[in-house]
Amino acid sequence: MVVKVSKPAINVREELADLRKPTGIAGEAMLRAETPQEQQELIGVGRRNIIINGAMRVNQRNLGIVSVTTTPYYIADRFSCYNSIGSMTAQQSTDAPTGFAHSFKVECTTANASPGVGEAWIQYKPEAQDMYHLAYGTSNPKSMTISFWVKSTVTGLAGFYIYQADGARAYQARYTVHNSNTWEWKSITIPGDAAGNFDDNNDTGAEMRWYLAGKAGDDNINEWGNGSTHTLDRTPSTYNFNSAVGNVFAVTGVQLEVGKVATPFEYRSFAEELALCQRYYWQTESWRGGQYAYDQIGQGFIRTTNTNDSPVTIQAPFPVPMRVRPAVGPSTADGAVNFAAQVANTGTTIDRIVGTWTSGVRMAWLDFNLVSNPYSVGQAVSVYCNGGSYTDIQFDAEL
Amino acid sequence: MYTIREVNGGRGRSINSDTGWCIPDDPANRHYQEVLDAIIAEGAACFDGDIPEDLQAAADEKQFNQQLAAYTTATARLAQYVLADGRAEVTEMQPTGEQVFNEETMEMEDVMHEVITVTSIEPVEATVTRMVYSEDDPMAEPVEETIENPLITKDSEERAAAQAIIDATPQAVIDAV
Repeated sequence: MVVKVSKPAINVREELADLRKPTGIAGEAMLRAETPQEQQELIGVGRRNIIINGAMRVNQRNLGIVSVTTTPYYIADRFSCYNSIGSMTAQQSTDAPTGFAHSFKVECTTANASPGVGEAWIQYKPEAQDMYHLAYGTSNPKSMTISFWVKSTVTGLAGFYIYQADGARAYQARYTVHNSNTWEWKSITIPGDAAGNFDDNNDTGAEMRWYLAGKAGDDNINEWGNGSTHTLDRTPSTYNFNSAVGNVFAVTGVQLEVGKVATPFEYRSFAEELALCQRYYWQTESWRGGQYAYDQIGQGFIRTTNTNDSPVTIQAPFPVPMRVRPAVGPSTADGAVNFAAQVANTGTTIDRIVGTWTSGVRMAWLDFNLVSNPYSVGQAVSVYCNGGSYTDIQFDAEL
Repeated sequence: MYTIREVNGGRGRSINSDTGWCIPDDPANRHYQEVLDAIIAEGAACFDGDIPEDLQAAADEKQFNQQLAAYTTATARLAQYVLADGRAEVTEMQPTGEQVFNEETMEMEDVMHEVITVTSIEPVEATVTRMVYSEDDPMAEPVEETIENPLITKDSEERAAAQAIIDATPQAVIDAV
């Protein structure tokens, strides 16, 4: 039996023309990628943002408007600022671009037209082990791209600076503020550094700064170099945030990612962002929703009957393991009403925290004094934030 | 002001600040580093009682490293050219990679050419002119004023600051470079 099969004629010229699909530049880059790894880097899949709290949402300290001096002040969690020129204030602000609720905002309150040798900046410090995968110090170091929204009264070239703490190497970059007091999105791609280094540990990996003033100059830009020479021109000679009272600089939507492309901001849930921040800092919550929260600090026992010999010892568990052993302190000066204790069935007040001792990062042992101590050794104690006081206990393991 | 307090029934210690912070013995903690900074800046005045030997030793080591870093940065700053003077071009003879036979010496010799290793930079203008307007009389004609170029002023200030750091650096630190 003979079977005849017929197929429609093919116009080869038309078929070839169909191959010229409008893929666009990104599409062609995907097609040219030789490995799935290259394609992943082009798309930016998975967890991308190395920065914690880049949207400035978490603000556990809730300090309000702070006058900034030469002690680095942490305002929004993980972000700090410093000032040795004129004077300025800093705050977590609700002034933000579309899609963001908050920003880190500073405002000049005393001008200094000629900053001299002082400086002012906003800083973020990642842990070294969170930068390790950039493979600095190898023959194939990876580029990284930082993107952010910025609003600045002063226009023109502005300075961004990154210093590798382990490699003692620095990179000074520039971005342009086009319009005064207008939210603008910026991205800076920083090449990999074969001579650099990020250790695999929990120390400071980098100091990343948005320079507001100081260390002005225009040399050694856009190249990695020795930290002692490439740290001299952190601010363009034309930029000075402190030039006039009322000048504002705000930043949010900060994202640092591997690769040469800035992808859209990676939004994380508030709960996740808060937990990430608590590795570095957390505090109790004495006041919530317009009333005292009586937040618990920890539980323990009466160790001695001597009132002033730190008779109360408690364990204060942390919400997440912290980076290192934290310093522990009250958010306001110690006082008899700041904290309270429940001993057996009796309420009493704590005189002050005496000390902290722990070898771990999951909880702290804390010793307290009591105002009076009519109790017995071994009695159970629960210590909490007192009603009538807004004082919290802070646990600080920031970089 | 810091105080050492015994904790855990005398089996441990806590470094306490007068603001109520209890600081662990952990160099990775930034508050611990602030204690060292206070010892460097204020000495015994920052402690109620004697400074523990281990803290004093840690502060001394930190100060040495800070002075070393500051000295290195300051020398690098002074090595930069003076804006008012500009920078002269520097050239040197380098082999091109080719070789020719020298009949006199009967040896192969590198062909050399002159290469600019440091480009020249013109000095900035020594002075700048600006218009000064009267604060008292807005209708008055502005007055032209000639001042030293602010870039030169700033350069001089930074160089002086760098020189001051170098002058104040202990010899032991300089010897360690």
